[in-house]
Amino acid sequence: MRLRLPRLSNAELNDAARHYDGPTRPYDIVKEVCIASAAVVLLVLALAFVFSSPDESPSTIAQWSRQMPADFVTTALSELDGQSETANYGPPYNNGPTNNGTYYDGTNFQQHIWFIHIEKWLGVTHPIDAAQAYVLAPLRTIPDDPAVQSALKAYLAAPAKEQNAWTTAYGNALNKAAAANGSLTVPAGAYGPVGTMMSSLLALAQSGGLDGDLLANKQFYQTDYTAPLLFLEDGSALTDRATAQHLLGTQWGMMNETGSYPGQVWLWLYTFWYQVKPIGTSPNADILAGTIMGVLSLALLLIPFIPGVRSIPRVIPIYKLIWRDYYRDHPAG
Amino acid sequence: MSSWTARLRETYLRNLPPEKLLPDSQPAYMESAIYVFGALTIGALFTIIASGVILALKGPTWWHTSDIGHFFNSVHLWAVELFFFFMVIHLWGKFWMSAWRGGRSRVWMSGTICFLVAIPTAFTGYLSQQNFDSQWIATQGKDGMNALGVGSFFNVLNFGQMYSYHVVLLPAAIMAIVGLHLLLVRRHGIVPPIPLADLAATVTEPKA
Amino acid sequence: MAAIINLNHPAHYVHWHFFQMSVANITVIVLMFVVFAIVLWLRAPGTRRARAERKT
Repeated sequence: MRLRLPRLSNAELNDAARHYDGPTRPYDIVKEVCIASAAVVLLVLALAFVFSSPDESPSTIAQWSRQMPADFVTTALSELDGQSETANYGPPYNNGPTNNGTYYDGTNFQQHIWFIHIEKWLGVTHPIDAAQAYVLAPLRTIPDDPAVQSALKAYLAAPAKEQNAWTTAYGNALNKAAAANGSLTVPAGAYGPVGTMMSSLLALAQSGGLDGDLLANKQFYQTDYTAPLLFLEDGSALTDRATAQHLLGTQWGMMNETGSYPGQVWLWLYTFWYQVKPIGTSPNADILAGTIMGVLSLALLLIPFIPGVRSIPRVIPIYKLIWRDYYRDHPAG
Repeated sequence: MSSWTARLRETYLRNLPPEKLLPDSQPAYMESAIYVFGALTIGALFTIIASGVILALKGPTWWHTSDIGHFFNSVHLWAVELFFFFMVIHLWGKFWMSAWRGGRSRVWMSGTICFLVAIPTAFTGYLSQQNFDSQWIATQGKDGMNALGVGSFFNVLNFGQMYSYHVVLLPAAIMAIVGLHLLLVRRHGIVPPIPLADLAATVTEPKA
Repeated sequence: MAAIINLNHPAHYVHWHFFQMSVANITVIVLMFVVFAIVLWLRAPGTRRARAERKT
């Protein structure tokens, strides 16, 4: 193998590049920027006209509950009994899984790298009590329904052990539930008030009331969709659509777009780490991939100072192509 | 104490005299078409901003209900694709030219920062679409943000916050960084070719 | 306003071991490499005329 090694020192190379006193030619910088901009505008207009852009309509809780009632109720139940991803997430939403009604430190499932548990250190900054937010509070808003209100009262008055027994029994029964035209028929069983609560919540969701409740529960004007989005994500509505569109993390989804449009191609290296064991399969995948990309971004920034890397263009002289006319006119260099 | 204004003016004129800021000549070695890609990137940025302003004039839901709005959304999206396309080719060209030589490390670094800031700018744009794509990107992106501790301050599920970042804060940052990058390029001039003397005679390694 | 070429249908994907990428994304990436390679050989607009004028 033949290697061309750089001969000049880094200092000599830099000194040679500081000033240029050689020949110049007339150049109109304003005209060049105008022509380049006009060319790009024309190209963009052509692309927009030919291909347009994607706009898949969003999923709503009303749609989800109508099209997938069993999945909706299963998710709502998991919010109530603390089994959902949101209920177990930890900071910034809560302190993690409940343990007989009391929260305990959930460090076991939060992401960390080495000794750095940054999620835990920053704490709960956007509190969400899953059971309250997604089941109990919305049910309280249902007007003129004494059956729901008394079911709620009975549930809240029961000890945690009995609540768990009801939700577990209902969850098992859901596996045998029959869904048809948006309605859900659950076999009878010893669920206490949970059956009434879930069927009322389903009706509220299907009427569209839950979408509004979760958004405007604190103030009239609201732009924070944290609550409804986390609820949707806990179910299968979003994931099913995403799988069909190749948007999952394991499908290099970060750089994909809905339909056949090009996506965020520049995220290729970020999504790459999620495809590679052991990073992609680690419970700390996000912080690992993020840290790697942080380091690589810093390296990209600091290329001028990294010996070896900054010499790659000198060892692989693509520059001879770029400046071939200059070298032909000035062979002394 | 001398005038701050005078000192600022003198520093500016010393570093960027008018003939450097708006030159009407260029070094003769600038013949390759690769040199056009900086200007093409700027052209794409103008298009992004112009189409973004039109979208902002009518608000974030306009493009879902109006054909003209959808067209401008398409212009904005394809301008972003071309912006990254031209910027990355510009970056490749500058890398293979070793364009940080001769005191131009800040030029390289400001360009890299522009690329790195463009990524969250595009990300907040995708989050601002108010469609299924933005729902998915938000619910997935939150895990990465939370894991890095950023989620406490930058809630990708909060449309209002993401829209503010996308329409005001990050474009302002991009324009400031691009402006700085351009001023540094004008101040230092375009990097001269690597001297031919840098290429040693071939060194042949013994065959294995 | 319908697009002339409708891309609102499921994408085609290229699979190779753990690598999978949409045809659209691969097209963009390949185009970038091709354009870069071409551009290394091309001269900037206007430079060919400038060379000719310098020789006369």
